Amino acid sequence: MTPISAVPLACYAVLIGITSVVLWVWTPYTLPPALLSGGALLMLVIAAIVALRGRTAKPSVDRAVPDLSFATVGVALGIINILVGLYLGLYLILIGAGILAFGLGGWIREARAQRRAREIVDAR
Amino acid sequence: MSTATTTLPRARGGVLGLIASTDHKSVAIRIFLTGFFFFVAGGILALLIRTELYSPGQQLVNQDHYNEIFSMHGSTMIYLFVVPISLALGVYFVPLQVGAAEIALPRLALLGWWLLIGGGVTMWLGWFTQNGPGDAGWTAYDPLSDATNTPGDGMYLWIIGVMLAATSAALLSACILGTVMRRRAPGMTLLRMPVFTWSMLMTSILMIVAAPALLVAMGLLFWERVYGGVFDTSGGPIQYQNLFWFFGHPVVYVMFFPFVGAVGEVIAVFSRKRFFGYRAHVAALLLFTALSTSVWAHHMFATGQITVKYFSLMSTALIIPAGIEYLDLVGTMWGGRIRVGVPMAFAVGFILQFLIGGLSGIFTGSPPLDYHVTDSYFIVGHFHYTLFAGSLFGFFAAFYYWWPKVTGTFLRTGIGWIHFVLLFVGANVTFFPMFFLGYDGMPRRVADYDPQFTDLNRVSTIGAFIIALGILAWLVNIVVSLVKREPAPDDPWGGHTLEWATSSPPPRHNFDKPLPPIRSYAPLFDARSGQTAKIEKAEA
Repeated sequence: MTPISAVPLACYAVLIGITSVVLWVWTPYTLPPALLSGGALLMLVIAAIVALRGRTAKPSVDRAVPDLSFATVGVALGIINILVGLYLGLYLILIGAGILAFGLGGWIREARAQRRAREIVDAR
Repeated sequence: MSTATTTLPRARGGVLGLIASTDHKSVAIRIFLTGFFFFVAGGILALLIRTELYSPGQQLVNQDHYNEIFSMHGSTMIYLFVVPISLALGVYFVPLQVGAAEIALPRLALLGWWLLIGGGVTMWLGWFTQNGPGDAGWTAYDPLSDATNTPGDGMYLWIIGVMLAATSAALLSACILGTVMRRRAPGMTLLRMPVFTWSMLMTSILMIVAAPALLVAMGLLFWERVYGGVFDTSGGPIQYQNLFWFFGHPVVYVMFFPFVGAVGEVIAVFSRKRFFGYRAHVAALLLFTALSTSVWAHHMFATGQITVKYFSLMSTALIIPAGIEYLDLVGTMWGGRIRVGVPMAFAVGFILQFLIGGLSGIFTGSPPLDYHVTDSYFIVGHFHYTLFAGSLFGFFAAFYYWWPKVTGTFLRTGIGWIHFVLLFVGANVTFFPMFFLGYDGMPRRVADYDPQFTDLNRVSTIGAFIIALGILAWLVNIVVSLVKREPAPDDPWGGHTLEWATSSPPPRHNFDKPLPPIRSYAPLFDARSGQTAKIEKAEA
């Protein structure tokens, strides 16, 4: 496990951080430099997460990988219905929310099954 | 859900596999097929545009329908074709190049494909609404796109479609980023990653930083259309443009970086040389990525409400990393034993044509010149040289190069050359006249024009149909090669990177035998040339 993977992300964050500082100094407007600073902050957070989690220690071929995920299809259909429902009406939002709930529940179920499968693989 | 381990060698096929497989290779192929469908749809719209512009006056469509056609052409090509296929390349090949058995967050990759389909279908459903689809350009500037100026359901569906497509792109980027960060094989350090993987890492970073701005812009635009009060204040439209272009400019590089990386791989392999200036290339990519995030408002010079000097300076600074990358690409060819082939032809075509796109970009990055050509056909020529004559040639280089890996068969070389020649001629005949048209004052987004522009418009229209013939040749090549299969070995080109160390097509978990030693960014080249042994001896 090494935090070195986060270096490109941190470099990018620092570089656009620098350009945002220059823009803060140079411009009378607020939104443009705020966008850049926000981007730098977002990437710093991601870099920190990567640095803390590091690279997967075990060779990845030993990991149990989900092959089919119908729950994901449910999540997708739920999101699409909710977004389209924002225009077409509350009924579609509610249908979408229901499908999304099933999908998210399925994700939890899949994650638990995946963990059990990984334990079996690890035990071999 | 069923759970697979390494004992399951093949991806699930059939209908179930089609809708729910999380295998990154299968997801990438489905993204590609979806993007291809929208490419054909957007291409038909392009032919309608060019047919209308063959002569002055209005022949095929009126101005309102013309607005719909060019808006949907641009939106389809950018949100539903080029961005998705750029990311599809990464979804397929990044796990292979870093020696991973699987992409990180495979469910999110599958979700990304579904949201892409949802976005595309939603956007195109606008054609069936009373007022037609969104017709405010691919940028949907406010107040042009508000409920007063663009009434009707189509614009709402367009906004929702863009939100879904942008979310899809962000999710796919997260998968690629996660794979590079957490799934690299032992020995695959950052500075041993292939140039294509580096370019996909930078692409992912750009998309993850930029996509939220587009989602916010679309959300606010939706609110503005329903309730008002968001952008109808002093400076409101400029705020929208800032939000939009904070996504809109980096996305140009999302549509460029993957193809630079792919072209780099093709050139190195077809020059039978290691990639020249690898570390400088990586540093240039990083600088390129940072600068490309910092230049968005050069699209807004004409508004007079941005800090012109800053954005002009940053835009001009892009020449530095671009120059380094070009030097590396040409330097890789220099002194190499170049093998002439269709992938190499498209790679060289990419270099030449993107150069024209880049050089015309220097014009638009300079405010005095930009004021002259803004909103003219010069701009249309510029971005079509970058996105079509550039990126699409890079895509075809990648397509011909990696097709044997994905399918286990060769494409036909003869038809490939016909495809290349038609596309090269067609692209230049179509887009080069646009520089003169724009410089002489023909505005973009018009269905009718002054008769003085007739000749160049006719040349451009003829070029568009030559492009269509080229695309037809490509499709014929695909069909012929799939029907009459010519089997390809696992490594037909003498590849340098790990995807060529596995079977064609790769098994479910990518590698069914141990990976070769990874001592550089070109492990297979090292193994063939005896470099691996030398490096290991030196390390010992």
